[in-house]
Amino acid sequence: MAAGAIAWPKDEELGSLGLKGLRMTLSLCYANFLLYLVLYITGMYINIYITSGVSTISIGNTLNVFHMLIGTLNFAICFIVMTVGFLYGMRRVAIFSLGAVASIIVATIGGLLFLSLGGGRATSSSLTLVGGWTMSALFMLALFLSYYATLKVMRAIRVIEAVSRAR
Amino acid sequence: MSSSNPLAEDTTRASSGAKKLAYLVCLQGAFLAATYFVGIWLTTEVQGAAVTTPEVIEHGIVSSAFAVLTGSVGFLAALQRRRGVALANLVLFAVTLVGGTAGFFFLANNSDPTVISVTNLTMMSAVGFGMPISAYSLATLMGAARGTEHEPMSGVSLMTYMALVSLALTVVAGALTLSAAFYMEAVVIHVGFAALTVSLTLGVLILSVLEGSENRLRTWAPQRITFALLSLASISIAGADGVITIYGGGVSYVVVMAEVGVLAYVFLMVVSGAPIGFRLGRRT
Repeated sequence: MAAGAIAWPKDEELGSLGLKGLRMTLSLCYANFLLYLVLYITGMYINIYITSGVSTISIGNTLNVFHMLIGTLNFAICFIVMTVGFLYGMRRVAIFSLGAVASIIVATIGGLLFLSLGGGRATSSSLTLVGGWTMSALFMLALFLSYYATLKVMRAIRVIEAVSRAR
Repeated sequence: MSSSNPLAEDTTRASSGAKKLAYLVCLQGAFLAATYFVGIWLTTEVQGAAVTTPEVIEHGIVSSAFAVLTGSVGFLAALQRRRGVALANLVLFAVTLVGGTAGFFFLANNSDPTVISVTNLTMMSAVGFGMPISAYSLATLMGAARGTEHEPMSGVSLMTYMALVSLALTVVAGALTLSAAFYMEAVVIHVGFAALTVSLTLGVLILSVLEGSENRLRTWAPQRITFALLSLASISIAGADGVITIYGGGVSYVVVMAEVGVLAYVFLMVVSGAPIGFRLGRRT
């Protein structure tokens, strides 16, 4: 190795995206957390204030449409981060995001089950509740996996910045 | 010891990135075609659509895949600093989300004429404008992959874009024909743009032949001519189906019209630079 050259850390997954691209991806991940928050708040509102008694919710309810729209955006961002991970050589980012994508797909199926089998807790079958629980649990799993993917992106940014500073 | 040129490495990396993104655009185009076809099938053949109707689920899956791929192409193009492709695809992504939202409202109220019109228009706008946008993205990315990104646009490319924009407007006007209030105007606009699309596709074919014959080696690009010819055949059949529908009625012709219309889009995509096909010309 030439004198004065800085070695890139071997165990780190830095990918080939570059600092600017990684920062853009991190911004996308932050935006995704905001979407998770909105998804959680709208989901909880539907759970507590709409479907807690005998009332049911239909697919065309404005809040439900908003919830689904935010869910679609959330899914799209997880998919984009996954694609970035696969294309730019960040295996862990790709795998964690793939897990989040798979979780959101199953959660969506749970949500559709809840809607198609009555859309209410008190007046519907036990399968409706299974749909609701699946949606909630897999939402949490997707959040957890997205968090880890974001940590890996942040780590790559910090390592690249540190090495650049050392240079 | 091997010596490497950083500039050459950067160029190779950019070219490889553009090629990968071009394959993603091809996938986006495939899902756009599937979304359009299943959507038309749903509109014409299924009565009383609900969230559990198999066709609705199929349409939901393929359209979600199209939306997600559009968003992915937009963001990845931004990462590769391709501003035009990124902007076009992110705008298309937003329009697709609006179409999806209208679709959710439609499922709750599938008999209200206003809801039906808004759903048809927003969805068809996403599909229609997805056609020229995906062709532009593909041609730009393939140009970057081949290193011909900064060369001036050829006559065939320009006419292909014009044909795709015309096809997009035909599709949007076609959606408007389902609204009773605008039926007459919509039919006139639809027929007008359909005729323009046929003319422009004929122009693509003629220019493909002329550009090939002007080549220094006097060899034609047979692939481009073949696909331009196939595109012209498809759009002409779609036009004939439209005439039958107006005179004889029957929604099955609308489905066939959409099917061959999608084929015309696919063939025009190939003409605009899709990385599909074989090297038929003999190298000299």
